[in-house]
Amino acid sequence: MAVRVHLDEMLHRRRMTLTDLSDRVDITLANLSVLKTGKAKAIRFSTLEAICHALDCQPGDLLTFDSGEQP
Amino acid sequence: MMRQGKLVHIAKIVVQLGRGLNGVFAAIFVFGLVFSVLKAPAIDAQLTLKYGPRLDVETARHFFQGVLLLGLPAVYATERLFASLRAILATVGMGDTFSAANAARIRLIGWMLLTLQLVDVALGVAAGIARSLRLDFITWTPSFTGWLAVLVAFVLAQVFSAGTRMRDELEGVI
Repeated sequence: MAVRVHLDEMLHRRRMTLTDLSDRVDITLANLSVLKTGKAKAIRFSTLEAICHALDCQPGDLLTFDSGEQP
Repeated sequence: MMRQGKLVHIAKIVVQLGRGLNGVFAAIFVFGLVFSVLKAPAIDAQLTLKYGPRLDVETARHFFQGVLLLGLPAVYATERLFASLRAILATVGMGDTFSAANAARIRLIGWMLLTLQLVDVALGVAAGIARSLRLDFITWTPSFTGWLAVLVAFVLAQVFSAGTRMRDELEGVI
């Protein structure tokens, strides 16, 4: 997918695990794992807001668009 | 939730009873047809006894055989309808009703209801023939609710198809 998710890097920088994030944002570990591996089809604004709040970052830190990749 | 579970349970029993009753009707139609072929002279004699010698007994017998034949597509459609309904009820129990399979089942129910309506129209034609032959037959009136049920089934099938597509779309949303 042309939109890349950088959740793994963000978690690594903040020395957090996916389980920690799951506890903080109240989203299941399974769903966060789907997001982390780039298998999600879409992300709700509410989810993005909760993750940005928990990781103290901007949506642009989590998602980037790679124009070279085919959709 | 409890009430819904009870309703599904009752519906399952009704479907099961309906299938059993339909099986009995199927047996009656088949037996009637076989009997009318094997015991044609006895039937002709009974018809003459009831309607008098002016009746064309052979035509009358063929008429009643035709009516019995009409029962066969009706019992087939009813069986397919009940089988689909039972499968849908099973998915309700599992909490997974919005699926492509259920949409197809409801569409099939629509086709089977349409078949039953066409049989009903054929019965109406048969009632007219019976009148012209001066035979005792059912009083037929067109079933408008039946045609409405056909329409509802096809619309519901479309609703289920759209619901399934929407659910599939939402599946990957985090």
